[in-house]
Amino acid sequence: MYLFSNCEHALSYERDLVNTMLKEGIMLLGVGVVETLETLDLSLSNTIDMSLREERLDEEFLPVCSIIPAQLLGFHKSISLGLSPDNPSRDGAIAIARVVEGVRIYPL
Amino acid sequence: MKVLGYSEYDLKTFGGVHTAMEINQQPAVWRKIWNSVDKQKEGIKSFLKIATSKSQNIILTGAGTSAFIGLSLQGVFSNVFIFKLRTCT
Repeated sequence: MYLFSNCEHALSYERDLVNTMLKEGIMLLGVGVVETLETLDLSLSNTIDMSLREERLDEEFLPVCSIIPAQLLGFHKSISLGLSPDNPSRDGAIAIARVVEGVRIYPL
Repeated sequence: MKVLGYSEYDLKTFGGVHTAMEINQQPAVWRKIWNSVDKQKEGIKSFLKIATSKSQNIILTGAGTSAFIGLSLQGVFSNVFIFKLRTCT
């Protein structure tokens, strides 16, 4: 899953990277998350085009939107694998916990 | 009411209620944060002015999406401030 910038300079490098991946034929599936599809200019078969409007987001704010497809993918995939998104560690082992408890703060 | 395509019953069954709610509420949460920051803009600016004048390192910590957001801010911070910004997850 590629989260593309909306800054043309960064996008140039991102495009080259993805084209290399496409050329090597090593992708199982490529999904491009982009602000506006017209700027992408890549032959990815799956794209998520986020902007319905003319105006562009400031580059700094784009990750806030771009991360959502990745979150959704993780959420739905974990369910399809029989895992619990709220409790990723299996069989009661608490390697990953959602809510951190029992942490003490000591004075410096 | 379905959240991310699943009923409340289903979400409870496979243990996805909290994650689904968190993902789903992001637009509302971000708007709320935006309004809150906008209201406290001057206070935040004063704080940052003092804090950055006394800092040599800034560390952003978080997990999951917060970690991602912290990482995404490294470029912004380094363009604006001259000291090092580190993120740790």
